[in-house]
Formats: sequence, C-alpha cells, structure tokens
Amino acid sequence: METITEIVRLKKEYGDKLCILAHYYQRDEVYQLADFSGDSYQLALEASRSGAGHIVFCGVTFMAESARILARPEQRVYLPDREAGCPLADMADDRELAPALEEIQRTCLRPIVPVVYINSTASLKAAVAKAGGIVCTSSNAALLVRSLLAEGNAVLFLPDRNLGLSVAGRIPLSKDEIAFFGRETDGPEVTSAARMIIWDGFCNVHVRFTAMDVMKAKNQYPSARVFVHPECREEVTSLADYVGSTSGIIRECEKAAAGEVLFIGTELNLVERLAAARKDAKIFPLRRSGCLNMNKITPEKVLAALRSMNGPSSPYEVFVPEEESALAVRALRGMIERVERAKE
Amino acid sequence: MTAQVGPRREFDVLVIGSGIAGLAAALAAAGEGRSVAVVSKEGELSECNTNYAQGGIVYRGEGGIELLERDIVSAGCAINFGEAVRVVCEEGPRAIEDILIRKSRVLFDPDGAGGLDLTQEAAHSTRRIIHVKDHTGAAIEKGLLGQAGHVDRIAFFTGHCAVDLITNSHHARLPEERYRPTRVIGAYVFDERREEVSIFFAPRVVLATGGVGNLFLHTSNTPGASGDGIAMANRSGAEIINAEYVQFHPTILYHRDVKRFLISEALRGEGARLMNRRGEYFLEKYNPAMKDLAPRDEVARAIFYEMEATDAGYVFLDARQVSRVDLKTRFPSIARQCREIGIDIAREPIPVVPAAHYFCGGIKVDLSGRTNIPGLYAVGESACTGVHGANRLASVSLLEGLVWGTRAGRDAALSGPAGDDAVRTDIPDWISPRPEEEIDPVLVYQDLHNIRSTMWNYAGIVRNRKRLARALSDFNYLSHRVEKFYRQARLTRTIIELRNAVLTASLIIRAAQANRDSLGCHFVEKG
Ligand SMILES: Cc1cc2nc3c(=O)[nH]c(=O)nc-3n(C[C@H](O)[C@H](O)[C@H](O)COP(=O)(O)OP(=O)(O)OC[C@H]3O[C@@H](n4cnc5c(N)ncnc54)[C@H](O)[C@@H]3O)c2cc1C
Ligand code: SF4
Repeated sequence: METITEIVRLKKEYGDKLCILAHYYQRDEVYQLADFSGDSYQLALEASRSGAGHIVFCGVTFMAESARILARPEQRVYLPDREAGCPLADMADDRELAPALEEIQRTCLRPIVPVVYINSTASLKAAVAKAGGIVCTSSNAALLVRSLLAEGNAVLFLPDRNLGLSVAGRIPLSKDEIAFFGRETDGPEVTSAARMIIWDGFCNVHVRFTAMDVMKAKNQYPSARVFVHPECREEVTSLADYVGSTSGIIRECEKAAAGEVLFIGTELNLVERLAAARKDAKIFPLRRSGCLNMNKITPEKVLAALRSMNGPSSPYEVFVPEEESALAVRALRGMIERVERAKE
Repeated sequence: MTAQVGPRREFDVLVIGSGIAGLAAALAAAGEGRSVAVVSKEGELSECNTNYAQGGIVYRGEGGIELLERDIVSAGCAINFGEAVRVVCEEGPRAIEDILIRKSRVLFDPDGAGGLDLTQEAAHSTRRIIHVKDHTGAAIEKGLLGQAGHVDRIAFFTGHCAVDLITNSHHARLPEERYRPTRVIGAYVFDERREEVSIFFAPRVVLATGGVGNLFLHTSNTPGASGDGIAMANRSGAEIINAEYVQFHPTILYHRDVKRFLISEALRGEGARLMNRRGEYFLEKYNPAMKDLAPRDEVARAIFYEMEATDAGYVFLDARQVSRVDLKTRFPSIARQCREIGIDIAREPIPVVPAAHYFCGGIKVDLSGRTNIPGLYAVGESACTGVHGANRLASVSLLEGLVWGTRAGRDAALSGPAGDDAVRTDIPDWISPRPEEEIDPVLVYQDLHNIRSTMWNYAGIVRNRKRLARALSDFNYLSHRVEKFYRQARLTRTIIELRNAVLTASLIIRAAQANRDSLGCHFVEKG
C-alpha cells in the first residue's frame, strides 16, 4: 500500500513529464498505475506520441525496445525489470537471419523478403530491415504477406510459427507452398514451390491451449463461443469461433451479448480483467495460462524505476544502439507504408 | 606439411586480442570510420580473461573521484602515475555509461531502490563496484561483441595467433630501412586451421593480448595468457616496465579436477573469512585493521605462510556466517561450482589456494596508449599505463582496459595512416624452415611446464635473490632450445607461446632482480 501511495505521489510530482504505459497482460496492481494501456503496437505508438520525458514501460523487453525506437532521442524509456524478456522474441536471433536467407535462397526460386512479427528483438528487426524486409503485427500480417506474395516474392515469416500458419491459411496457400525453417526444424527441405517459409518459434503462454480445452468448453456450454489469439496452435485456432489479436479479442468481448458465455484463449491477467468488466456475461479463461515475464513487473519495481530516473544511470533504462534503431525504424516504416498503400 | 604463406591483408588498424581492451579499441577506431581487423588466437572471440572476470567494475561511489584516486594510489604503494590515475577515475564512469550501458546494453544489477547495486572489494574504502551477478566479465564481453558484431568496418579473425610485429627496420629487405626510425607496419599472423602465416598490414597496431598468468603453475587466467604481446613488443624494441609486479589472487578453488576457478573476493566483501586448517581466522594476525579486506598481496602472502606453517596445500574460505546477502543468488556461479564438487558454501568452508592473477606491469604506454615505437599501441593488461603502480586495486583493470582501449582506438584512428605502402612491397612473406622438423609435443609441453613451476617456486609470491638467479640461468639455457624449436620446427601455436613465455618470464625475473625492495605485490625476502 505504501508503495502505491509513493508511486501516486511521484506521478503527481512529475506530472506530464512522466508517462506510465502498461501492456494488457500486466498484473492488475501494475495495470492500475498506467496512464495508458494497450497491446504492443498501440503502446509503441503511444510512446512516440507522448510528450513525456520519462516513459516507464510495463511490459517485456522487445516492447520497451520498440517504444525506445519510436520515441524521440531526448525521451527516456525504462523497463522496471530488465529480465522481463519474451521467450518467443528470443527464439530468433539476428545472427541467424543472414545464413537462413542464404540457405533458403539456394532452393527457393523467388526473391525472399523477411517479414518479422513485432514480437521480436530490436536487433532482429534491424537485421530484417537490412535484408530488405518489414515488420508486421498480428492484425496486419495477412495483408502484408499477401501484398508481398502478389509482387512475386516469397516470404520468410518469423519468429512465430502459429501466427505464420494462420496467415498462410488466410491467404490461402496450399501445403506445398509452405515450408518450415528454424532452430528445431529439420523437416522437409524448402522446395522451389515454397512461397511462405515459416520460422519455428512459439509463445509458450499461447501454445499451452489445446484442442481438448476447446472441446471441453463447448461440451460444458454448447452455446459458448471461443476466442483465441493467433499464437495458439493450429488445432486450437481451427476450432475457435474467433481468432484475433489482443485488441481484437477485447473488442469482441465488448460486443458480446449480455448472458453470453465466452472462453478466451490468451494471457490470464487480461482474461480476468475482461471477466470483471463484463459481469453481465460469463467470461472464462480457456485454460489458466499466465505470462511469467509479464508478471515480473510489480509495483515495487515500478517504484524503483521511478526513483532511478534522476540518477546518472538508471539500471532500468532501455537502450537501442543508433544504427540498430535507425534500421528497425526503417522496418517499422516499411510496414506502415505498405498498410497505407493497401488501403488505397 | 609446412606452414604455408597466407594472404596479405590491409587494414587501417590491427587489434590483437578480443578482450575488453581490444574490443573497446576496435569500436573506437571503427567509430571514427577506420577499417579494423581484430585477431584472436582462440577459436572463440570470448575466450579471454575478460570473460572470466566475476566481481565487477569500478563505477561511482561515495567520496567521488578523490577517494577512488586515493584508494588506487594506496593499493599501488604510491608509485602510480598520477595523471593516468586521474584519467581512469575521471573518464571511467562515463565510459561505462556510454559504452557498456548504452551501446553494449550490459544490464548491471539494480539495487532495488532505483540505483545500480554497489558492492565493495578488498582495499576499497567504499561501495563503488557494479556487477552483473558474479559473471560481470562475461556480460561485458557479450555486450561488446554484440555491439562490434553490428559494425561492418570491423573484421574478426579467430584462431589467428600473432607471431611477430612487422617493423620497417627489422623486416624490410631494403638495407636503408634499417637506418630509418623503427615503426610498426603490421604483424605476421599464424592461422591455426589453415596452417599458414599471413601478413596483416596496418599503419596502427594495437596490442591487447592480456596477461601473463599462465607463466605460473597456479593461475586464475585462461591458458592463452602467456605474455605474447609483451614478448612481441619487446622483440620489436618497445619498453617493458614494472614487470616484477605480478599480483596473486589469494583465493582460487583448490580441487584436483577444477582449475582456474576464482572465488571472488566480493565474497570476503560480504563477510566471508579465511581460516587455516586448524580452524583459526588468521588475517587478524597479519593486518589487524583491515583483516580479511586487506590488500590482495598481503592476503596471498598470509595464506602462503599459513600453508607453510600448517604444512597444507590449501586453506579455507569460510562463508558460513555471511548474512547480508543470499549466497546462492548473489554468487550463483561460485555456489554452483562448489556444489558440483560436493560443497555447500552456506554450510561448509571452501578449500582455496593463491594463484597468479594480474600483471600490473607491461608494455610502457602514454595516456593515449602509445608505446615508444611509432605505430604501436598497447592497452589492457598487456600495457602498463601507470594506473596500478606496484599493485592493482580490485575491479580497476576492466575499467582501465575500457578507458585505454577507447583512447588508443581513437588516437590510432585520428592520427591518420602513415602511408606505408612503399615499404609493404618490400616486406617478405613468412619464411618457413626447410625441411621442417616434427617436434614431439611432449617436449614442448614439458618445457612450458618447467617454466610454470620455476616461476611459481622461484619468482612467485615470495622471492629471494638466490631463487631468482637460479630461475634466470634455467631460462637462459631453455631459451636456446626454444629458439631452436622455433627456427627448425613446423610452426604451431604452442611453439609460438612457448617462445613468448620464455622471454616474458625472463623479463619478469630481470625486473624482480633489479628491484631489491619489497613493494606492493613484489615481495623479496632479505638475505
Ligand atoms: C578469473 C578472473 C577474474 C577477474 N575479475 C576481475 C574483476 O572482477 N574486475 C576487474 O576489473 N578485473 C578482473 N580481472 C582482470 C581482468 O579480467 C583482466 O585484467 C582484463 O579482462 C584484461 O582484459 P584484456 O582485454 O587486456 O585481455 P583479455 O581479456 O585477457 O584478452 C586477451 C586477448 O588477446 C588474445 N591474444 C593473446 N595473445 C594473442 C596472440 N599471440 N595472437 C592473437 N591473439 C592473442 C586472446 O585470445 C584474447 O582475445 C579478473 C581476471 C581473472 C582471470
Ligand atoms: S505472452 Fe508470449 S509473446 Fe507475450 S511476452 Fe509473454 S511469452 Fe512473449
């Protein structure tokens, strides 16, 4: 309680020089402290719009890096626990990209453009930009991949395999147009027919959901609808009633009719918050699956980060080297331009 | 198979060594737009002493620059070079912030209250050392390599062992060059995999080859710490100073199968105490004021004498009463290593022995890392800037490597290429002896072993006139044989190292003989 009071006091003291951002997956005590909350893309945008000199980012490393990249140079971005990483983002390393592209190009006839999901390290985004590729989010991935394929390219999609598969399904691509690649993959070779090559990373929060979970839910409440995130396994997304990004899921829950039963396959903190917001409906987690890394951020650590802001060097401040940052911005801009062009 | 002639390569700056000092130099030179080659004789760039530093690196603390200067000079017995001490204290914190924290993204441990966690080590009068758990060096090395890996102007060569520096006056075929002022224009480098010697031309060469620990039987250093840079520099005419000051770390894990494992003195900083085999905490006898936080050399000698008195090969470090921190989270590597050999550090004392740890002397350089030979720089442990004087204060060496690496890299880049092209064409390729002799590796190994025991027994923690004289005459004899190997045998990395080891060991002994007074980590028994 003292911690919260102190944070509130510091927030008042800093006024609009400080902005606390929290991801939807943050624990409630932290979420409550935020000036703005959203998914990783919205938070990055908010960071770039905010006038605050200090941005305390409650999320995981890659998100704070995106905020850092989009913020102005004089703004400072802090992550209250520097060990809050994202296992999914860490499943593709920038140094793996060039050799992967080289190997794939040996058999693939089309020029390959890497497309990297926003859930990735800044270094990987930079490497992707260097290789002529772009960033995507779960909501615009299909659109971007489609437009790149239409230009005659093949796409290397990384790092999330399930999101990649759901994109491929939406294009749609046939089985032999899809190939896999990555650390754990030594399956069939990339053939000359391949149009989408998918990296084999995964989010362990979302792959925990199984087809059995969906069947049990529907068995218990036959009229129930199941909403899941595209990082869930294919066996789950194929049975779900709605597959969409975190923001998409939130929107669907808001639209649901009173009394409806919903099962949600995404991070637990968010699901519990949704359930609390819609007492008139029945919202359940498809399975209780929380993100260990998101939960590393606590009010105590937020307070430590706030206190660190005046020191000569804060242990929480996030840095992205200039060259890397410039490249990553290029990959992010590439995404925005393509999305805008597609709208025309 | 004979050592083949490899390609001739050209760079603006050649850096030999990929520890903190070499990488800082490479980054600084590349930052000024220069093309840089970094060569390391190891298969992995990270295999160096930097990677094994545990305790941390000096940052900011109470008392500021003045108190830090005072601690450094008092550890160094006031023979330090004041200007150099000032540089490391003034530029250090900003170098850490700029290069390590910002650019290399090293995540130093937070203290939970908004600052970086500050710890204390032997002979520091305040808490001012930052760390990444107990693997600070590995985190720094990884960060620097990550940063350097993104710089296109830096080319890395692993498994490349520098053999000798190339100078106009020693190597050019044209007789006139012999009379011109000596300058360094590159190096002969042995590529171990391809068994070929290539020439790396560069108007600026930075030696960052690290220390000499492996010249001694017990050491905390990596096997590559064989004094190569010191020997190479000496052969090309650079001055070597303060070579008698070899610091011994008091506490290496003593175990049959585990070598080179350091028990950080941060453990003593948190309250662990040394105990002899009779169960007595003995440091209060030797230094009643500072006890277990006395300077390293005193602690090492105390252990040495206790080992003699109790006729034991080791003493104990007792961490059982440490309560300020949780041992297993603050010292995970030590706890893990000890557990592997069946010791729970919270419940049992740890057997330890002293070991050669840090070379305070080295290639004499100025505040920009320049040696007396134009074109040649030296940084890090292989250099002697004057920061450490007669003894190094804990956790200052990484900082010195960072600061001087950066200074030298920048100086090398900005002092401009000297336009050596004309001389280059006059430098012969490496000439292999023909026919080459196959040398039995056991012979080479035994010679190295001889050097290491001789240094340990005669020129180690406690020295005297007779021992030093005996060691030198042994090495005089040995160096003839080694030179013969080198001239007649097929070149290998071990032979290169052996040749450098004999020379560097002799330099240490001569310096020790010349200095009859015990000071800092140089200790001579009278009589
Ligand atoms: C176990 C241990 C713990 C330590 N803890 C600390 C600490 O907590 N704080 C602190 O400040 N200091 C500490 N030190 C000291 C510190 O780590 C070293 O002084 C410092 O890392 C030296 O850095 P360097 O760049 O000069 O050399 P190194 O890091 O040793 O690098 C030497 C490089 O030179 C290369 N090389 C050598 N010879 C050749 C050749 N002939 N050809 C090509 N390449 C060559 C090697 O391959 C290597 O890449 C510790 C040392 C040890 C051994
Ligand atoms: S929920 Fe998954 S993708 Fe998001 S931070 Fe956690 S592990 Fe990473």
